[in-house]
Amino acid sequence: MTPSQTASLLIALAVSTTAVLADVKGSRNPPTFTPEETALIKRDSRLVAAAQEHPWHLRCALDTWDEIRRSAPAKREPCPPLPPEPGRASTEGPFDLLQILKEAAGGSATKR
Amino acid sequence: MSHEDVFADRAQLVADLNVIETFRWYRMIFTERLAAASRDQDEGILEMLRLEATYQLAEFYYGLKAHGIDTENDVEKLADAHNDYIEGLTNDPAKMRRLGLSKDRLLDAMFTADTRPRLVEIWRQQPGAIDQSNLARLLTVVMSAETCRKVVVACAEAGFLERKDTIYGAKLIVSTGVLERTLGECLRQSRHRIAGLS
Repeated sequence: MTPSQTASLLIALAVSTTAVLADVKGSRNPPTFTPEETALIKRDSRLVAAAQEHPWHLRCALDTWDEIRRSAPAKREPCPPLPPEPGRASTEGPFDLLQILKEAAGGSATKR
Repeated sequence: MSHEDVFADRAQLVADLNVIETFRWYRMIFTERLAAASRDQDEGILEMLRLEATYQLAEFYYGLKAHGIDTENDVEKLADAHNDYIEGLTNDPAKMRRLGLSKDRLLDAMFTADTRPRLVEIWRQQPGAIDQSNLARLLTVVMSAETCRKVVVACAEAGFLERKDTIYGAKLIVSTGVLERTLGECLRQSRHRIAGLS
């Protein structure tokens, strides 16, 4: 796993496990990020979203990542990329999506 | 539906087989034509274009165009219909399981007081434009947000979507028309084939 993948994973974990605290968003001043961290965040739309929605959790995740990196500086082999998810398995979803579009256009839903 | 023996009448059976063949031909020819239309012939891009998720994206854009969803008012109705559907789904645990969706994921997919105005304002400024996170919301029922991002990136490389940066860090997605036109042509030809069978 590359450093950026590790950071993404930690950030996703931190944000998902602390999402219940979202209602306290804005109760503190926003954290600061180094230029390197800012460059990393800009490379991934999920990190951009995390920086906007949960900046302190992102700060904590980056600090944790930094601690891990310092304690284990050995270079690791990057993980192979995961295959893309082919899509949801159910046949109901595509049918429902067509019904939503039809309803938005003023039509009535088709009976099953 | 009556329980007639669907294998009893040979002529009916041949017609049925032709319909299923047309269904399969439709999906095959759509993918082939999309791959041929891609300006980037890199195998990685073509692999993404062959995914079911790419077909779903094309069907969504075709639906928008075919249903004439083109004004701010239309998009507001779409957001409301989407929210109503998602809300109903959160009360149907069995269906959520079938669709592979969690309640948290569904709540994230709803348009809120923050994201709904953004959807409408972006559309007002440029009809047809949807920011990537809102596009993923609209497609929640058929793919994950990450799959949506990957498919959108591949379609942008192929020349089927424009993917523009905004000053807010969001990505603005606009169709160039290839996805919906290709799907529409394949659909029309398939319908004519099926009509010719009866």
